[in-house]
Amino acid sequence: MVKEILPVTSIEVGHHTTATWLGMTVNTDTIYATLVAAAVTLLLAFILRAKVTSTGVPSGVQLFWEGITIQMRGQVQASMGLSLAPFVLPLVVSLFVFILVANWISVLPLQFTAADGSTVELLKPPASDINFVLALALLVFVCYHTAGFRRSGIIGYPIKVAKGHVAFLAPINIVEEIAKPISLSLRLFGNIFAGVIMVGLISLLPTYIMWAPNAIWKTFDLFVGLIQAFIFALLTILYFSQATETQEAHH
Amino acid sequence: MGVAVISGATVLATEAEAGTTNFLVPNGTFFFILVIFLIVFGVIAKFVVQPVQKVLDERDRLVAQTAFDNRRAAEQDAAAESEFKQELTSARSEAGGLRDQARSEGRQVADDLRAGANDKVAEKLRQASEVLKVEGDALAPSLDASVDNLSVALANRILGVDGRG
Repeated sequence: MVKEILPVTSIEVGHHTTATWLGMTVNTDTIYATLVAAAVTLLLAFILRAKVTSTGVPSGVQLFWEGITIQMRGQVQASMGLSLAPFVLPLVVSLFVFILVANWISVLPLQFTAADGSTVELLKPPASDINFVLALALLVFVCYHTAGFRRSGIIGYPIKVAKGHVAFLAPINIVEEIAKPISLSLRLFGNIFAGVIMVGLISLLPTYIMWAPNAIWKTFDLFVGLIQAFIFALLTILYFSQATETQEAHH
Repeated sequence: MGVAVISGATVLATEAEAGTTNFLVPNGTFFFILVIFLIVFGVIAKFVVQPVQKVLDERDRLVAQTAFDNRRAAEQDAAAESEFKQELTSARSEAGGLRDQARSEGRQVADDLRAGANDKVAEKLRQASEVLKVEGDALAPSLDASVDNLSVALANRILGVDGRG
């Protein structure tokens, strides 16, 4: 019985090719995929930079950026206003596009069979690596707390965070504050990681039927990738607005 | 028996047993990802969000400017229209006034001319009657002088005598 199921173990879960750079162990496949995502994002940015126009007919790339910027600006304005932390808008636009591109990388059907017979994705979605999501979530965490300190003062802000709306909920508030970066990172990680596992499981199906669930799943994965990128950006805005709101805003 | 569970957890468990690193523990990749993202963030903040916001503001400004221009053009149009109507009305009344004035002046001229003509006719009549009177007065004595002879001659013819003496 054990022997029959053995091919199942050819699914590599959370396995990364590693190397040692600057004395640190790094997952080269994640960095490779992240660089591709960054390159695509930067390419789009530079195309916009080269062809941006306010009076002529905007290009498709400009419409893409404009649409995202307008959407995010609307969200920021609705929850906290643009003036409180001017770097929030570029931050959430970067987060959204970067995560979106990184997630959509996994849709490319680039697989190869490794030397040991296992099927390996050439470009794994970077968000299926805990380092990627943790880097982004902790950056957001540090940024919105910095904005909070600047808004409410070096002493006032921690008190405000702990106290929240009612003083006796302080322990819950502190737990919630710690949970924010964890939930923010693990939500994205879990969704994308699940997608990778799903593709791995589907690849166990016989080849003549595999394409159907694979196509359906990858289509759904596009949707998941978009939604997760949007949620990440939206929660970033939400956390910023919570950190920068003042007592007078509570009603 | 534990391997019979077809899931990633099995693989994870075997890997952990084999001493490979737990993939839920971050490693040095974290810092490289952070640097990559910060570069992307910098570029997007500088080359995307700034220009796009400028473009959006500029477009809003243009839209507002166009709306303002439209409104002002409509106002100017309405003003020009009413001014035109006012001018037209005043021009009409002025024209009417001028017409009346011209008519009365014309009547005045005609009356003047008629009066002048009447005067001239009267003068001519007076002159002519004077001339006739003078001529008649001049002719009367000579005619009076010849009346005597002519009446004698007439009587003699009637009587058939030559009674000149």
